[in-house]
Amino acid sequence: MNERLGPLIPEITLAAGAVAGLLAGSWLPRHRQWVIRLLAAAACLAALAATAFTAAGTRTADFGTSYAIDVATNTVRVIVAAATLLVIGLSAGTVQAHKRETEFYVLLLLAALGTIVLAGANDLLLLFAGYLLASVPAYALAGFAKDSPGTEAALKYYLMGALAGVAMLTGVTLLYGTGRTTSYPLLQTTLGAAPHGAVAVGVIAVTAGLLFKSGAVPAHFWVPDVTDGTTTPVAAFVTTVPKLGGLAALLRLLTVAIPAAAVNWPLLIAVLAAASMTLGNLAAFFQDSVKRLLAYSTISQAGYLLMAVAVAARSATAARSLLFYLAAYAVTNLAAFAVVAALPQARTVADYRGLTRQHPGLAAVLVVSLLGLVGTPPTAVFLAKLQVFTTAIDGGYGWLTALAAANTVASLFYYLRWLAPAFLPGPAGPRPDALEPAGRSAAAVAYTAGAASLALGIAGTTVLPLVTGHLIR
Amino acid sequence: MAGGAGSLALASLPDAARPWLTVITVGVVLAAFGKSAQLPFSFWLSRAMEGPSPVSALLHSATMVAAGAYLLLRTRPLLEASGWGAPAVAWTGAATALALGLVAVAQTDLKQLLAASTCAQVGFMVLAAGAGGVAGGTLQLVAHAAVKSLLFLAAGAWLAALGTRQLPALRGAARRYPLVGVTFTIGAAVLAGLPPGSLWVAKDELLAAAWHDSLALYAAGLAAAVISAVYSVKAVWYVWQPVPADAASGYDTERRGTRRVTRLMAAPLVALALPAAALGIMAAPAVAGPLRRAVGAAGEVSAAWWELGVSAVAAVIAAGLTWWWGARPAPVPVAVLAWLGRWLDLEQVALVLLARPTLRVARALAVFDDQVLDGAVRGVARGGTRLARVAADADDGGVDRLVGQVAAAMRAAGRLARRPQTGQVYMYYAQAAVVLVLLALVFALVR
Amino acid sequence: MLPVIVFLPAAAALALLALPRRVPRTVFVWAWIGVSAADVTLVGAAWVGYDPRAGFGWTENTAWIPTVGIRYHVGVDGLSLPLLAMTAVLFLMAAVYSLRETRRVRSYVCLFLFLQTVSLGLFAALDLIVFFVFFDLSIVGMYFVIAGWGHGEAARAAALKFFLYTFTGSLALLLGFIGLYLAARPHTFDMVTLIRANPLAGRGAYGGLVLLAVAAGLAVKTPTVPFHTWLPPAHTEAPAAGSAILAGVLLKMGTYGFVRIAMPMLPGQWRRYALVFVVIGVVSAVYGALVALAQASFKRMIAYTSVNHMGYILLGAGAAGILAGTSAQARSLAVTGAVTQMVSHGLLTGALFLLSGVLFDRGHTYDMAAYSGLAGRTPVFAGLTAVAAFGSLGIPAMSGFIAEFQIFTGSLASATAATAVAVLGILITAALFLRALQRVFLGPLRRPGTPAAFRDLHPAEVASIAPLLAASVAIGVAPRFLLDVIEPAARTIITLVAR
Repeated sequence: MNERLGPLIPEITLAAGAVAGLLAGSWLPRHRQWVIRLLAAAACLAALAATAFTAAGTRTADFGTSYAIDVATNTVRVIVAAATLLVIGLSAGTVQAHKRETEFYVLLLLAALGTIVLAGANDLLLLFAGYLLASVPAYALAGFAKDSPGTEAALKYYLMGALAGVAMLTGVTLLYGTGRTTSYPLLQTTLGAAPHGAVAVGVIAVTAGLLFKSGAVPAHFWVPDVTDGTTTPVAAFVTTVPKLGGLAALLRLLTVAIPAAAVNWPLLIAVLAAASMTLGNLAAFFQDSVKRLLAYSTISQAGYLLMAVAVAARSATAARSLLFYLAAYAVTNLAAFAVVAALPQARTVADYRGLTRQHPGLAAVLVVSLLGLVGTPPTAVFLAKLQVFTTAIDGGYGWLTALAAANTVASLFYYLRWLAPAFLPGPAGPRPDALEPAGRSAAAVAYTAGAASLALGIAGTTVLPLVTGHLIR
Repeated sequence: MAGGAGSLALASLPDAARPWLTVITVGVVLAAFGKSAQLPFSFWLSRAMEGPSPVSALLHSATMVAAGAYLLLRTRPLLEASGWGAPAVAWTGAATALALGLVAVAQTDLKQLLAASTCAQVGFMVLAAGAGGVAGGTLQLVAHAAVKSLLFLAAGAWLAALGTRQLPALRGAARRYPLVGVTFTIGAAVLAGLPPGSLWVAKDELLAAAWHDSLALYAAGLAAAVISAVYSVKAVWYVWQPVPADAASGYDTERRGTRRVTRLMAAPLVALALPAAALGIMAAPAVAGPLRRAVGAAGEVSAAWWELGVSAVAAVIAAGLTWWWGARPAPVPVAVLAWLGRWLDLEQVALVLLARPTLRVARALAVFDDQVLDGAVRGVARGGTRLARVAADADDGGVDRLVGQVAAAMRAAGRLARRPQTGQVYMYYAQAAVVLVLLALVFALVR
Repeated sequence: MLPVIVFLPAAAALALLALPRRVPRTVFVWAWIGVSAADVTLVGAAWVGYDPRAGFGWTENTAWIPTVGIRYHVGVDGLSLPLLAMTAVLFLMAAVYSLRETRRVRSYVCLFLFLQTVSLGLFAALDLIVFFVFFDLSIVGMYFVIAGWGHGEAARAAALKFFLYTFTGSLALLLGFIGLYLAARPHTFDMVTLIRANPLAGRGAYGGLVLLAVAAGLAVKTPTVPFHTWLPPAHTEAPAAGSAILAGVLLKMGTYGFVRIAMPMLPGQWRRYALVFVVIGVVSAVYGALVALAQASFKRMIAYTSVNHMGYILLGAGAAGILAGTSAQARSLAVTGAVTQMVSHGLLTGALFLLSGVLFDRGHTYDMAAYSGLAGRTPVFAGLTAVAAFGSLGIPAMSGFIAEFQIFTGSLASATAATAVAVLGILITAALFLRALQRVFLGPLRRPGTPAAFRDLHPAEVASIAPLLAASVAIGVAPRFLLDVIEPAARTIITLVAR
């Protein structure tokens, strides 16, 4: 049994950072807790560096075959670390001098760690453990502000997560029962002989949990309420980071563990993708609340991401397109949320009237991120969508691509509805103080994320070879 | 090109294959008729008289209207190749010359008279093109250009000076402005086909070709030539009348007259009168020969001396008759007296019998031209405008409305999509559970 | 050379954005004029240095995203070089016209410089994704022009309609491009390779679907009936220079796509469905002319005449795909006519829209019934409008006649009935322009009740409109210099379509 800790350095770094932060923070006075912020950031950077070093090696499985270290895991490590770094920067303004500031950063690190474990899990039980580690800190983060919307958000998040978790565990049980093992490579061989109905139910149940993490239909109900009720940095985190782990885990589960003949999971995922993108877009049409609008937009983005998963069995480029899209989505979504965080008083679309005049830089980032979420060239999501569409057509799901194209056009409507007031000259909206900025850290994160989105799009050629590869079987 | 002619050179047109040859011929012929105001397209020239006289002098006598006839003269091989093109063109030209000549006689507006006369004269050119008298047609074109532009400029000079174009009001205008009067008379005389004017020679050249083609064609052409004399002289008669006592009441109807003809106005008149008169020299064989060779019609028939004589006599007689007739609206018994005098030869008697009904027919034709032919064109224009409005309504109501309906459907769908998000956790549970169970059932039962 | 031509305006825009806000606005406009003039000179040099018989010239080919088969491949040939030249000239004229612009000039200039780069880049592109990127960016740029500098509240609605409609078209186009990419072995987006490979030969249904997607996307941009309803509101609400660029340059992106992408890369499918395109072209031509005749607004009328002119282009392109009953010479003539019409329409309609901008600037309305007898008060304006109107209806001695004559001559043999019907469009267009001229310029003087005098053309306006008309006359009188460039490329296209 190989139990090497070497390949797991990035995860260990994050865990060590969390533990060290918790311990150190207990002894630090309140006004010095910013040290823990630095420590958390350092942990993320160290994880990034470690991944860069270890990724050069070949794919391996650690701890038997229960943890896979391949292109998917490495990509998710990098994106999650970078995203967490950005969220730490984003939250500097809101959580500063809070009496439990340390716990905030520790919870962030733990949730990030859980996401990475989710992405790398090559075993059903480890998958569930990762699911819990990714979810529970997030519940606490959602209610961190201890105001009534935050509490409500945390409770809804927890209850939906509980349902999904129970479903997932049921599924794990069913698959273990029919497959007699929890290891993905072994399940691939044993599930073929298992009763078809039970396997199907099991797969759907496990998928339900991963869909909850991804924020896709039918486990999407928490996304708008949680995004709206919690603070903006936490909203940015829960709509970005868990998705990364959930989708990577879904990809790994379906391609490595479930034999193609056992259940028609491509069609299942395709239907769920179609439902997510359509529902997310339609519901966003007339949203006036900026955060709810972004929440529905992330539901639709989950739909586009699921498209790549749907054709993973038939197309060789599906994994690459999914991973690139995850990177593009993460950086663009964080840019959009960063702009919202930089202007905490502006809660509705109308409050953004005249943004160009007052904060031209933030307006530019808003344009880049919103048009980026649509997929206008030359942003990163355009390249990613191009790849995903190509992969989907190549995999035989032309109807899904056409639907995705139609949804892309439809999504323009609500993004432009938000952008248009920003470019209007003239008097501000009904609340002239809406565009008061909230310190510089959120704005800095916005600029960084916006620039990264553009850079990723223009220099996609250098990034694509890095996310090309096969999953361990 | 579609007919396989290979190039757009005029010389290669007859090589086109049928039925394209028919299409080409029809196109060329119709274009020429329209441009040269031949039947049934003549009315536009009448209306174009609203423009300034220099414009009429240039475009509507010398250059633009002649372009159609010129086209037909140049594409004579094409007309021959088509079989039916040449006779059709020739007869149309003859018919125009006849009919529009009568119209000219019935006019009381000087410029209208000149306009109708232009149609008729160009009809001669068209007749020449159809009958094969290219030399004659070319000669007619050149001569008519000089003459008609002279006449228009003179009419314009009187219009500028007296402010009117009406022949009754222009009584005595030639006496008041003798230079204009004289040049006008020279031009009108040439126009009437009186010898030794250039138009006399030109008409005979082309009538010779018509004679070679068909006798009926020649007769028609000759009759038209006679009529040209009638209207030319009519105009001259008016302007040489003594200035009536109440002349000023008829002036300034079109615009305010300046009561003077400047030297700048008079100079072109003199300049044009000379060639108008002198171009008759083209009848001489010394000139006619090289001219024929130049237009490539060396082998065409030329006018015989008797043809020249016939037309001259006819023109003179008609001119005289008209002058004598003057402004009288109906046959005057005094005619009996004059009838005993000069018109005892049979030819003259026939002409007298034609004069009276000619005026009536002329007037009827003028009315026909304006109301029926032009009215049809106006009706087409109105129909086109109505069609355009229907199309615009369809565009706004139909196509664009569809786009609007799509947008409305999306809006309704958007509102519907927000309904499941009620905020109540138990409803989320219910919906999620139902969907998952449904999916499980479907995928468990269906492979 | 080509990357310099394409990216010089964008570089200038970035440089201008760095200038402090207090710089007077004329500095920005003169900078734009300078950059545009430099671009025109460079394009002229490229024209002189281009050998029409050599196929693609001034090519650059570097890898951009090799894993997906996207390369930065640019080059010009006889089809794109005239359009590149027309684009450069039209932007220069828009720059000169904008000397009179007063609202937020800095952003205006930078936005137009951005649009200039995008437009030049599209015509120079030889890779499908590069083409698509510029295609989409042109929509974004024009959206901001209309929404930001349009005539009021209705401008935002018109801009949104324009954006959504044309963006939908561009997504259909993208699906078609992906179809082409996947059919080629090895997968590539490179235009030259795809033209040579003809990947969809023999793929009946799939090829038809790809042609449908590409044609639908381009038909929305062109626009043809029935996808044209975004055009009238977009034009009516846009500022004058924006309308000139929209009509002169952006519409050509659609028709250029037909000749550059649809015809050579999908020859079998194009031949099969050529009659459909002929019919759509004729319907657009006649329908556009009829609806234009019924308009009361001067600018909306000109907008519909664009639909009419684009219909002729599609007629020529479609007729070039019908092989029966015609010769290669005729079909080549049809394609040459189509490209000439693209250039001619850009010059003439660009001039007409700048003139309508003058009308609006003086009288604050486009309603033709509000004006009368302007020729007496503003003779230069009347003269230029008359020249532009006559050119637009196809009078000989101007470029429109050259173009339309070639299209009809080339299409008559293969699409006889359609061409005969399309000629009606000329007649209707003549009627509508003469009526408009008569209503607005002749008769007794009447103008909308504005206290300011109705002044004749400002020197900047004359300097921006007269060169366009002069260019049209130059092409109409001595078209050899243009046709010598287009004809070899047209012959190549014909050979490719007949494969």
